[in-house]
Amino acid sequence: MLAGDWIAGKYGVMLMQSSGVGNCINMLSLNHECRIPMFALVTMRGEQGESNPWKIPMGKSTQEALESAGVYVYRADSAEEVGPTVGAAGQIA
Amino acid sequence: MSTTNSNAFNRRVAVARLLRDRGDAEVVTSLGNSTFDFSATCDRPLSFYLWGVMGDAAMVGLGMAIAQPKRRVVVVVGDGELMIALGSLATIACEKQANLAFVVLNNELYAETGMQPAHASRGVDLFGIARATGCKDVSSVSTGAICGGQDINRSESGVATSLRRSLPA
Repeated sequence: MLAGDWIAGKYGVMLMQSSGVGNCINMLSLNHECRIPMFALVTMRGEQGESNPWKIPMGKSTQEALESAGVYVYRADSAEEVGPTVGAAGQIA
Repeated sequence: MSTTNSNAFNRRVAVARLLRDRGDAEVVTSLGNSTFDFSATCDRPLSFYLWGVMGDAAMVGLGMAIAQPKRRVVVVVGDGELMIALGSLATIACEKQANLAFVVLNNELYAETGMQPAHASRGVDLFGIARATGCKDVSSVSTGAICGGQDINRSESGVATSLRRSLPA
């Protein structure tokens, strides 16, 4: 949907949970092939403190899956890092 | 089902006729024959062709419709693509974007991968699904009716229009 927005002259940010990343990999072809920028904020599941064991495999491979699909990933592991990291990532997008 | 060249030609003629009078509407077509038919018959700068990302055409169209609310957007997909995008169809129905129309080229086959029978040929009712999600103006028309002059461009807020059995038996 954000790709359609961009084609039609608007911009947006995708907010999602890491479990959804696996559903997006093929769709990233559109961004690559048509040179469409995409800015996504992904909150992590399956890491320290995770209560649902089914979330752990995708959480473990989220960053690697995105990077292998050509996406630049910048992590923020503390509250203080969120602002600067999101700002820098947004500039790159 | 017969898949002779003359049948494929009928579908192509129907697609061209269907969108002949689209004016300045933007058109998004999905992977496979939707893109091939449309690009071969009525290419214009306002056409956006997807040749991958199966299942994504509906949401690309929704994004365009939201970004350009005064412009009509027509999404052309195959029935196989629509089966992947059922969740998107529901989202589109929720958004009630009156400038977005959806055309399904329902040949009941996975033509791209070798004419395997698709869900629609095995009893799945695409129109019933579209109606159940709340899409307005859901209609099923044959290639013959399209070639005879039926035209979605006259529909005021068609969210889902379907071209039934676009490869005639």
